[in-house]
Amino acid sequence: MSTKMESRHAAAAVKRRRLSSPSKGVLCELRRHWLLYAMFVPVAVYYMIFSYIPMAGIVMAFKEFNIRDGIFGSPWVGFDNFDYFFQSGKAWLVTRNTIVYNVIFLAAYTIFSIAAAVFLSEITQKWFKKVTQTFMFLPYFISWVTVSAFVYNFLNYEYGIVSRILGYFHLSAIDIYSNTGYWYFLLPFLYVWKWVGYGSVLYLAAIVGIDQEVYEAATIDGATRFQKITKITLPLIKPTMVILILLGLGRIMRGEFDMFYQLIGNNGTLMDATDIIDTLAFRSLMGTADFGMASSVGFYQSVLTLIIILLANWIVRRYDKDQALF
Amino acid sequence: MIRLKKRGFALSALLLSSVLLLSACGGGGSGNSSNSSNSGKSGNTASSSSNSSAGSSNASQETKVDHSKEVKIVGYLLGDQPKGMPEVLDQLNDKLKKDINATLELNYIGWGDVASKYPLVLASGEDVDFVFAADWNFYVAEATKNAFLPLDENMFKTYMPKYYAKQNAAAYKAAEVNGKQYMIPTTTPDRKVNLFVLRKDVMDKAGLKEVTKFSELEPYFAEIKKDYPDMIPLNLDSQYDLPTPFDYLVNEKFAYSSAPMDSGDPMSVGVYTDWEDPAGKVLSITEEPVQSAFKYAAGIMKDWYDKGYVNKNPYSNKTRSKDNFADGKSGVAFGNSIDIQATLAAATAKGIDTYVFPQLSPSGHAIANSWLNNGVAIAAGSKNPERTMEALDLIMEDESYVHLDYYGIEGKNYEFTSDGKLTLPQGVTTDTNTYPPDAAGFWFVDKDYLKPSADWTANYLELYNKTKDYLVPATFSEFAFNSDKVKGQEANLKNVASQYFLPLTVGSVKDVDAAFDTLVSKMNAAGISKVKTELEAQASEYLKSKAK
Repeated sequence: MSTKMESRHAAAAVKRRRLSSPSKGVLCELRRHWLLYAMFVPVAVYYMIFSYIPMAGIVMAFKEFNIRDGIFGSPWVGFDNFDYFFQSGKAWLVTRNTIVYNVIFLAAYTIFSIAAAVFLSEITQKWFKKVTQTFMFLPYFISWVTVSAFVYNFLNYEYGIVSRILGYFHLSAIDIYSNTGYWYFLLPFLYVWKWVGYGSVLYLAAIVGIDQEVYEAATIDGATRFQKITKITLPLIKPTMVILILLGLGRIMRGEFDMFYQLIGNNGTLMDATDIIDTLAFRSLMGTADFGMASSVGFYQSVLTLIIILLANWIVRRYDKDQALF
Repeated sequence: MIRLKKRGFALSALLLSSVLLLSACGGGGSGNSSNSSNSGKSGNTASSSSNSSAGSSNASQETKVDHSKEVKIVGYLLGDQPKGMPEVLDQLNDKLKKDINATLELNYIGWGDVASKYPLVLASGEDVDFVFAADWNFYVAEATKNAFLPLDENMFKTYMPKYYAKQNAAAYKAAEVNGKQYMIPTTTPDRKVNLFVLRKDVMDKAGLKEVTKFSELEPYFAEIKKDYPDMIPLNLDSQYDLPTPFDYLVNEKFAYSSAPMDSGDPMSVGVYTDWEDPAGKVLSITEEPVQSAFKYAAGIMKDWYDKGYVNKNPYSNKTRSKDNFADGKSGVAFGNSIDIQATLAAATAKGIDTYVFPQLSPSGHAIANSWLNNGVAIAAGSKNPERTMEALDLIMEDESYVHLDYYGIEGKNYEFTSDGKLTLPQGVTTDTNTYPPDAAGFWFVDKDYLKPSADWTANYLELYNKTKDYLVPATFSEFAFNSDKVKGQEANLKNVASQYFLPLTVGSVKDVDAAFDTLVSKMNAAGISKVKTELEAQASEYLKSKAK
């Protein structure tokens, strides 16, 4: 109750201060912090060119696109472009797969990244820490095309390393590429393998930012290492975690097309278990190269993403206003 | 601190909203400009022909086309650029510069990217003058999207005189989409037939003297399984080979063109026809002879798959059997009588004796390639369509140009023997040749200028000489389905095919009849009946115009 009052006071104070200096408008702010804004300009330009301007292209989802008339001149066709997706009989399946896989990915990624960051921060041997970190980071630079070649050479039935090793011990080879079961484990595993190095850096930065005095005080109070982690480190990186998860939710409808496409490809046997929205659309439209129909799927994903982000943010806001994105 | 943060936020919000506004302006602006260009263009489509005819009358007055301004022509071809391309291009440009004051820049779209990049190159419309075009490579789809410049007879007369003199009038007609011609088809449609290659040594061990059809290969596969642990009898790749053994087996029952009529995509499903049937009856997958032939083929494939004659995951294998064959990793190589030459040469170099057998219909025929099998199209946004056509005229129809772009540099990449056969220069092998024949994507050139190769085996030479007797035109050889009205259904059929049809062709299903029934029900759900109705209408239209 009292904290609520306090924050209301603070807000009122801010308001008053702002009202009292109306002459110092945007210009003054600009002059005072011009350097910060100058640093912001490239980012703004980047997003303007690559995110905001292309947004106008979304009209393509409602058009019968032809090259001579261009994006804006082509005739309107209403919702015709959406028909195929919902008539494919797989709209719900792939939407569910997309969400389920990405939720698993996001959860596994967050948990393993935090764990890795905590372990790394506890390592005192500097060279060992650096070497470990480098090795964890390396997969981030390998494209899925290459990874799929690795995986194929490891796991394929005839020449795969796994099959060869099993053969050496006189065990029968396993046919991973025609059993869906393995992939529920393999896909998240490969996802984590590829991204955990990157994620752990973000969390490590947050951990390094924690005031060392807190730890010293805890040591004096006789806290164990484990207690320090659970009582200090984890609570203090919670804000970072919330923001990263919220940002991660923004990608939830279009997660990792490369990965699914490169690893699974056109493999019909695995398809019900591994088909996501992107791969379905890609496969269906490769032959026709119809931009309108492709955009309709993009539009569908964007709408779902917007709903998910608003929902997640609303939930966060309800529990902890300061940690919501907006 | 809070204040600063809030202020900062307000300001960045302002910035963002201004960005939004700007983008809206930008969008509106480009919309406007495209609108205005559009209004100009609706007349333009009509005027482009009048324009060109004006140009041609001009030219006929002067009898010489104006070459005073140097232009750069940008072209896109398919495949991978051969290593020796820069040198060949230098020579090509020297010649072009002298003849028509133009230079050429070539870009390649790799096989793996064709489906995604080819439409993109055309849609961006920038800096592209000509592209490779073929009925099997989105020609109709892109033409209906206005990606290509419409061409007419006058343009050919004026800018491509050599081509015009040689080309058959039927080719122009064949290239029409909605009444306009968008492609410059080759003057020499390929005389090629699909074939498979076997190893003579394995055949001898398996006691196989002659092959008359694909299903007879069982003992050959069994022999490989028994004595060659590192070789997979059918080592299929994800792009070309995957449905190929299935095609061969189906072809034992009826004249199947390896792809459904509607999409022309061997990896898709749709409606079918017996290509030798003069009446041109359109068949669904449940009609005879399609159903029994498909089940027959799927049954054999399943048997072979279960026996381990087929690689377990062709979907992830990117190496074609013809490239694995000489390395002893595949027991069979699939290809056609033109692109298999490199495989045969490599096998000969490794001391492997080969045996080739063509893919023939039950009556012993193969489809003669249509005019549209190889060609080139001018991009709609080309700034110099006239000069581009002139350059193409030389590239396609001038003997010295054809030898240069198809074979490379004489003395470095190829030589002619005294009896006029193609051979490699001293010290160059097939492995070290930087510009192998046929590899540079110039498949639309006049192949009458090409020479037989000196190292063809007797077996191949026999096939080569017999090829023209195998070839007969299909009932629907020049038919190109316009799928505009059933795009959604086509997309879904493609999707159904990858999940329910490809496993049948590979043989990885548990039960052929059940899998076939599932496929049929999924095809019905995807709207196959609508595709069939639309295709039947277009097919009867085509047959009527052909009868005239």
